[in-house]
Amino acid sequence: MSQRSVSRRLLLPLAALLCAGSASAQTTMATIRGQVVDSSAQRPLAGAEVYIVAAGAAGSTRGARVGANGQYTITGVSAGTVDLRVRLVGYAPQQRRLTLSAGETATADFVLGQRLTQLDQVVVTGTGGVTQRRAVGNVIETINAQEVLAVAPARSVEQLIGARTPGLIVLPSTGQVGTGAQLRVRGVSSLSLSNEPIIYIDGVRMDANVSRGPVQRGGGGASRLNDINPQDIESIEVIKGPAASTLYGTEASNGVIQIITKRGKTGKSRFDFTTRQGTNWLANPEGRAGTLYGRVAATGEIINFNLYQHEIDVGKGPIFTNGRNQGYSASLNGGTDANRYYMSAAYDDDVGIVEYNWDKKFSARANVDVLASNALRLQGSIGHIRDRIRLAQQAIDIDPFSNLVWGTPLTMNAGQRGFGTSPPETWSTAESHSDNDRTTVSLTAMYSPKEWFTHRLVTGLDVSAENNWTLYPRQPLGNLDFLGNNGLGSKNAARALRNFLTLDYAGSVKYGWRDATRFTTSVGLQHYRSELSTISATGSTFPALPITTVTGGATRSGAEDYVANATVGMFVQQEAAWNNRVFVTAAVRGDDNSAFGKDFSAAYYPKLSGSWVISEEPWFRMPILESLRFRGALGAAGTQPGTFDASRLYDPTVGYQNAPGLIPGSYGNPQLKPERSREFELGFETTLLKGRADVAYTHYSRKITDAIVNSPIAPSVGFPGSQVINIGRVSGWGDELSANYRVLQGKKFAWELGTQLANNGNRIEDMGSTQFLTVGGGGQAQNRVGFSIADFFLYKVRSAKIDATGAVLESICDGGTGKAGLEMGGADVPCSAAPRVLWGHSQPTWQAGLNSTVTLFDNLRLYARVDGNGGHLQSNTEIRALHNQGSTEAVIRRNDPFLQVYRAIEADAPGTYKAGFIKLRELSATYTIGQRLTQMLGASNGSISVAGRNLSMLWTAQHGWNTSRDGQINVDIANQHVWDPEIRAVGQLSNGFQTILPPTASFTTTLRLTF
Amino acid sequence: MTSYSNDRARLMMRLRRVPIVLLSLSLATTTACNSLLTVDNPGRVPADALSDPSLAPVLQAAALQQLQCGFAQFAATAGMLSGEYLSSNAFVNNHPWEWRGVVEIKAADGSCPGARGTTSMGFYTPLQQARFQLDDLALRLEAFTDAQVPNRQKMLTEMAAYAGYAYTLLAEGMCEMALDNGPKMTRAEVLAIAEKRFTTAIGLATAINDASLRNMATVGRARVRLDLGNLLGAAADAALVPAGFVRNAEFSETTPSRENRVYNLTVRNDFLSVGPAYRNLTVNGVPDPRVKVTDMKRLGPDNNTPMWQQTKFTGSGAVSLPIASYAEAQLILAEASTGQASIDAINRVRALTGVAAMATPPAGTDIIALVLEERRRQLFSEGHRFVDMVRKDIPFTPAAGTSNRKGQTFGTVTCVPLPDVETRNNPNFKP
Repeated sequence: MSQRSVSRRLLLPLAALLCAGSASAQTTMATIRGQVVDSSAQRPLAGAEVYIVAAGAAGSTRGARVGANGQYTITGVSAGTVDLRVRLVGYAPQQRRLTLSAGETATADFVLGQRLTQLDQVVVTGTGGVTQRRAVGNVIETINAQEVLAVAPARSVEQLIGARTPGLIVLPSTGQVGTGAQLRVRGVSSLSLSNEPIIYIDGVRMDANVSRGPVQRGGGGASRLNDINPQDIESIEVIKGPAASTLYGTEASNGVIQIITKRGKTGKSRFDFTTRQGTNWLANPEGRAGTLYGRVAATGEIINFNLYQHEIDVGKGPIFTNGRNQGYSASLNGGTDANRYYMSAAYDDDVGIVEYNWDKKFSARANVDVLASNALRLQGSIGHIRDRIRLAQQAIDIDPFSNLVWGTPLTMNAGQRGFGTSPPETWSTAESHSDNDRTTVSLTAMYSPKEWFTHRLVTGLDVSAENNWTLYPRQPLGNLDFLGNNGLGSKNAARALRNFLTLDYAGSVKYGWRDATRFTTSVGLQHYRSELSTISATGSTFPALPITTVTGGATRSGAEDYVANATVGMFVQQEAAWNNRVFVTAAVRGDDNSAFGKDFSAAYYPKLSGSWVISEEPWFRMPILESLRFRGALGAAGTQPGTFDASRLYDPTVGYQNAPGLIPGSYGNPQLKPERSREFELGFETTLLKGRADVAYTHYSRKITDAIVNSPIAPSVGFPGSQVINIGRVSGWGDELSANYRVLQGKKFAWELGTQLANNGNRIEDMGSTQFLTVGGGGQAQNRVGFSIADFFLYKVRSAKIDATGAVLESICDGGTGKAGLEMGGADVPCSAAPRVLWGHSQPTWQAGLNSTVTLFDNLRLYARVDGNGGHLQSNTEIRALHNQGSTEAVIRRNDPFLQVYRAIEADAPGTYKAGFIKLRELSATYTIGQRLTQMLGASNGSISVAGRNLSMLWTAQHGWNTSRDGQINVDIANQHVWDPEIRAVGQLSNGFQTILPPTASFTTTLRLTF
Repeated sequence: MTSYSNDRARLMMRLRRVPIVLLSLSLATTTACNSLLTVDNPGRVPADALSDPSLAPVLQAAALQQLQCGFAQFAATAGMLSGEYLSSNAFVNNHPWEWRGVVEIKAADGSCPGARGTTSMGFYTPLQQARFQLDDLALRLEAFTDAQVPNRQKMLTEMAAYAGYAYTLLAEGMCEMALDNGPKMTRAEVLAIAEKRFTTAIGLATAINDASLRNMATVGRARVRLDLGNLLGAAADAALVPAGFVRNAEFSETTPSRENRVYNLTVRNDFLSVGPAYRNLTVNGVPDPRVKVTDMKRLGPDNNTPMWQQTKFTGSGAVSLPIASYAEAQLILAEASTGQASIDAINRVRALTGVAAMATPPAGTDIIALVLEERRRQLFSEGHRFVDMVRKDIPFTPAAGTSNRKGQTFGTVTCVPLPDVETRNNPNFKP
């Protein structure tokens, strides 16, 4: 639902209707015409609203929307003095006073400057209804999609979101095309539950899972978030925590992201066409592959080779190639003030760095706005996507990266040519597909029987049908093939149906007391229901080469699962505004959810926020500050447990003699309730230096109570797994700063700098009687009271002595000091008596971004962005496996004392390293095509841009500025390396990876034409 | 009545309706909310439903299979610890069971495999679950009647006999134990429970005249008595087991957890390779048919370990793994007996596979050593060698502190220590 502009979309048509009054009346009226353009690029600002501000009211009575050519016309304006105002998302509004005489046609042109602090911008996310940013006590970040796409080669939603918002970190899971990234808003806060924000598109909850389809190395997979065509997005609103997301209730602790799609603009039909052509590649693969060692058993000789280079030398390589990226998008929009439309279609075809990793996506969207009556506006949206993805990393034996990383020179002259399991020609025979057909429908009805009485009802459905399948065809040699038993053939087919139903009603009543004080009372009722139904079948051992069906397998099995979740919630909100510059909002939300225990009834989340536009106070005199607003919010939200975590359940199983059985499944907890997060945030936004600079700052602190912990059950109880209980308390905090500085604003040369900085921290305050919980399989990442969530605890070897055979003679470790005796810096103790001590955090604790835009001669725009995050460690377990298989020099020679000790007591330590980094993320040049050329093409305007992504690693915490340009990280122990510090496995508290393809670099050329 | 009083009466009547209206609205809202919040769970059964006697057979099938899964996990894990197998895969979670790493093994409590390619080892958790399920169903069955549950007596017999094995394996494999979140227990205490279960099973099996279950429980009790040093009792039980008896854990390829774990790890996946001490064994220069292994003449998936496969349990997942047998009973008899009686028992077992009879050894020969060697070969890959090494203090080789072909340093594990997940979450172990 796009409620973003309810008021303007209601009021402008109403104004138009008023204009349709008696013709005779118009002879006493005036007309206003003009142009609205961008201050830096001087491009027409289609969609901007120009309206006459009625005296003593915040709304408009007459207005028009700027057309594609930047022109507008307002007719039927009463003669006299009027205040004319123009506004557009992302730009500073302007107001001008005109004195009109009857029959006059006045001209009023506007040049709008971009503005970070947009107090009058309309926002919809986290508020009871449509409201202006100035009234909201918490920070709401807005990403203007068109602004980003104009300079950045974002081919997916996650790239569009990027790290452009302080406090929102994108954690890529793999460099394969078609896969997605995890999003983290203000770090992590939950010990056991999801740390992902919830996503809405046009007001409808959407499935944004980043690991659908066949699971890839590291747990990633196809991304449902990236199903949305970035070209269809108008803007993305982000609210970051419980202080802002209270009205979303039990699932909103981790923030809310609302994707708002484009809607039709008033005026004649406008046709836009965009195409992108480019390529992506893996930088320096031969350098990153490094040297692999092996000892020849017969001779004792130690041999080595660079497998990537070796493959080229024997005339078979290279393994990785440049993958082509192409996309075509067309849209048509237009309409009257009463009825508008936006329709689009797009086709994207992206190929990764191996030719059998591709993503072919067709998407279409139709958004319609209808003014059904003076009081009723309807907005309908439908989007469909048909996505066909083939992935390449579903299993070690055919994964290019695993085969390369875990190769050995001992077999370089054998059939597998030194690769871990099989040679490259085998890899592409195995297939891994994620096919998806998805439709998202939303209908928004906005009914305003009175100006002061409004209703909004949003209903929608997000439905996706996935067909995921993996295939190992039977190899000619059967299980004598490199693939072993997989050479006999197998197929797994998994069909998944996912739907998300949204029903969301909100009603508001506005009233006032004298002129200065306005009140808005809102109530809302929401219902969300999600269902995921999966059926899978597996067949293995095919009798003959052509057989590739499940039915063809000699061994067959099937599985079915169904998971549903439902929420019913309601809220009441009261807003008070004084002189349109002081706002106080109080609200409470109540929720019940199907996942709550039967002994728990409902959760209630209160909220209180305030906003003060102090710069509009009559007494405010600080010339350096053009505007200044203070804001603060205190709110609560929740995180729901798993659907059936509260119930003690038995699972079906295949029992003795293949008879059906029931086996203990989950222990349950009838008292289970949601995790509760309470957050306080305080901040300000200001525009200073005569409008040249915008600064926004927010500090937040949060307390998570009733934190849900997966408390392992002692196996002697007889039930497997863990019990989900509310025993934890976690505190969190952070700061976020964004700033924009327009250094130069000349017509021939303009330069703008922007930065986004954020830090975050958390501490576990209580976990009941649980001493610590391990996170993930290795046991090094642990949740411990007094430390941050999922901190790394490992033995720290201080010194070691070995004999000539590599046997450890002595090992001295850090004995620990400080909190619980678990901090580094303690006395030397024998490693056998040492504790595992704190090595560092597993989650990023800071984030930084810097972007620079230079505009030359109004038509050439040069853009660069660097960003990164850090303050954490990562654990790369592929190094441990490399040592284990005997492919490193140190493990063969047994001459590295530290490695010898670590391998005995802490095998993952040699692969644990500082993971902070800063990358040259985006670099682009955009040229606005001259009018003559665009007219030759039949277009009204156009642009062409060349853009690069992930072109260079600039800095890493491991090596400082002397880092390798391609991102390779060398670890200290035994001189091993990992491929990229940014990549990590998918998981709520994931902290490492193993043979996951790193992010690739790309260049993209984009042509945009408007007809 | 005045107009005023009429209005007042109507108002009062309306006001009296307000609570009714509010209550109705409240009920309607509650009903609507409950309806909206209702979600199906067609894939799982709430614990409350298990009071239905008709569900006893499905609990029975699950409990017996859980024991079989735990037993197979035990056999495979014990094989690694005892040197019957080497780790030939590259997965780090599997390796410590070869090099006997204390920290790593304490972190691996084990589970029934959820996938055919899983490498994890450990038997504590699957056997604890089996023990719980078997005892739990026995309690439920005692509350039901024969009319409610067909074959109730046989089920009770099975529960007791299989539970006896769950307790036996846990006692034999673990250094110490805990039950039902309770305090630390010694191995002898757990073996005593096992003996009690076997005695119950023997009585029930005799009553229903089920020879297979009776023999199974009898072998089990003989085994427990041997563990407890009750040689007379062990010999008496072992002597009751008739020739030809074998009770197998049965497997199939239906699901990963129904596969013979030994077969899965050694043949299906090449994850384990037969250890050097079990390759090319002979008796009087003739290959020993009891230790069937094959040199695959290639490296395992770790590109390091020469691949030798066992061929004792082949032929897909439908192969069985003996839980109790006449051969084992005779070897128990051999160990619990002395002199020629022991040799006779050994030779009765050798005759089963056509192995040449053992000549009467010279006086002073360590008969127990001979029996243990016979057990090592006859019961290869069945989980017994590890148990023998623990109970007879046979040195684990290579010695702690030395390293293997991959540079991994051997640790000190013999019997399996309680896993961290037990000591950290059992309230009796928490500081």
